[in-house]
Amino acid sequence: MSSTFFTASPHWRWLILAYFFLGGLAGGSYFLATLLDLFGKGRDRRLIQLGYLIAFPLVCVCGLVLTVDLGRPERFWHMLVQSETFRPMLKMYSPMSTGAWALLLFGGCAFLSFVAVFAERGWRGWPLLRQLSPPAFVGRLVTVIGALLGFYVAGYTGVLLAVTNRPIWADTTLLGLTFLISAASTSAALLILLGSWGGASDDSIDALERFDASVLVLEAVVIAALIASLGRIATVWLNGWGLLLGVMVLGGIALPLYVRLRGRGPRRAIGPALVLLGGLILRAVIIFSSDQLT
Amino acid sequence: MLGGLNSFYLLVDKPEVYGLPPDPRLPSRNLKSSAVWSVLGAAIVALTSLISFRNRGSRDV
Repeated sequence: MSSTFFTASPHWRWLILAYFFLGGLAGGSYFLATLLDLFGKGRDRRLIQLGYLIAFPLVCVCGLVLTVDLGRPERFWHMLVQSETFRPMLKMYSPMSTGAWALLLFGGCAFLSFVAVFAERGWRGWPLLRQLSPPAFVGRLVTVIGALLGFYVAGYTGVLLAVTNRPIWADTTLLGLTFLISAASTSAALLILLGSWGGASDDSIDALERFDASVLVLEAVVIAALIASLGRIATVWLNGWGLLLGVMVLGGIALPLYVRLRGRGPRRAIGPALVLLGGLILRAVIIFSSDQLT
Repeated sequence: MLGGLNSFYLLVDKPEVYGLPPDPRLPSRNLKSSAVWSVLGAAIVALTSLISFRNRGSRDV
């Protein structure tokens, strides 16, 4: 038996699941918006704006959820600042510490890009704020840093699990990769859904659907690699959690790919909705199945 | 094995009998390899997005 089975569970529940899922969506939406902003076409503008507009509210919810989950929510700032010296509380060897800072800094970039979208739409007539979006230099700087932080926020949660010494979580090194790929697929799905309703061009949606299809195939490969990397420990999933994971792969990856190949029009929303649900189920299986062991 | 813990246990049976792990390891052992895999994933996602967003055939402007 793996030594990870001798440790106590942190008993992470729905708030942490919500954070893992929404953090992935926030980071993923932002880095997709940035990549479209830097390398896309002019007609992608609507989709880019949507990406920036949803990233900031989502990261706010993430901060709120994490704070509420603390035993003493009013002491959340101890994650960031040393209470006696008021120096930054940053431990480079701890994903939880670097993640807290990444979330804060990512929130800052997401806020600037959020404001820039309103400035771009003529809000309040503050032309200086338009410098916060590309192709202005400051805008490029903010979005590139924000995208890198977005990648970090989307993936560090898996790395955090890997350094806990808990069953499943610490028995593989692929959870960070799995969460990051899942964040990419779910964020693309969210942007496809919102873009379809929010006036994004068909060409932009097509490009995002192509991207999502490629990432979904990659996600299936990564989940297979994750299970293989667990070796004999993967047998702990020979229960309802394993069944749920199978349902996730079929319903959240295979079915959306099939719908994309076959469907157009109203059916276009089914695939992305399933991908989003699949991303949530994937994280639930990984978090809760370990929690129930020992 | 773990190094630097300044603890010494003398067991007269298997560790599992005492509720101790048979092969204890530091939790941080996974940090570097997990981070490397995640960075690799980020690079693949970025590359995939570039290919998907740039390569739009004859409709490119």
